[in-house]
Amino acid sequence: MSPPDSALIARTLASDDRAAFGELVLRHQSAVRHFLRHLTRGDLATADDLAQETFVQAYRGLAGFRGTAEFSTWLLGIAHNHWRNARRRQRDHAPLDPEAPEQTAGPATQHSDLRSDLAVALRDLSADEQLAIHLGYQQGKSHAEIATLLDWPLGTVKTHLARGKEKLRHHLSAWNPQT
Amino acid sequence: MEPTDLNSPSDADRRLEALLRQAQPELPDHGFSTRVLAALPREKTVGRMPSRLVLCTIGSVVGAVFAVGHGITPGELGAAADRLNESLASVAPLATNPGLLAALAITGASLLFAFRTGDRRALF
Repeated sequence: MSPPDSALIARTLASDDRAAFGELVLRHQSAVRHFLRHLTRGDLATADDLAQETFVQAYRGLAGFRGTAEFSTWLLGIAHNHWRNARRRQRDHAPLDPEAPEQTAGPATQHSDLRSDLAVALRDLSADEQLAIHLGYQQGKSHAEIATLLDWPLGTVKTHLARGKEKLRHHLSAWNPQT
Repeated sequence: MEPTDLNSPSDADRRLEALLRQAQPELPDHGFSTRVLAALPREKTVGRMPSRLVLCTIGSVVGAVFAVGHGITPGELGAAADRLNESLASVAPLATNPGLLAALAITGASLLFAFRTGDRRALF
């Protein structure tokens, strides 16, 4: 049985155990890299650079992790700060993910795959709605965790989630897998 | 007529949420963790307080040895401490100067800010 995050954190802090920290990186790299890929709109290289900076920053500030939130939530908060700082520095638009489905606005067609329709529909949401949906469903974070992570009021989180879902429902209402 | 697909609000919600939750497969590491570990700072950034404590202790011991080596007796140390007290007492009135207090407070706050939020290696 693999040790919990808290045990790995304690080992890292107590004896600078880099193998323990490496296990934490291995365990959370996918969530952090997914989150940053989402924020950079699929710029894989930038997302991975920011993810690396996120983990290095987490290592430096590990003693400041109080354990009041999940470790993964704390990491995503650092990742979000790094992304905001990088965006402020660059002030340009990241390219779209070349692997992402082509943006063909409009409701889902009967011949398309539901998942690719969903990807297209997600792109029609506002950035904040996309972010809330990503954290709430794809990262599995609670409303309270999203509010803490993004420094949003709880009501704002709920509003963005509800509006986002409503728009997605509307986009996908034409979908009928039987046809 | 009862809808059989996403047109039903509850079905739509369930189906949509299930789809959203499935939309993120685990990313393979592909050496990412190794790159992160290679990018970590070489020296310990955690648990540095004990090393500072060790340095302070070594400094104190070296100072004591130096003092004893130069023939300074405990009585002389006591006299030196008295003189230091007198000197401090003579500058004590300055401590009530608002300008000096403000300057000290700003300096202290700056050091505290730099120590807590900045790169500690810049200071230590």
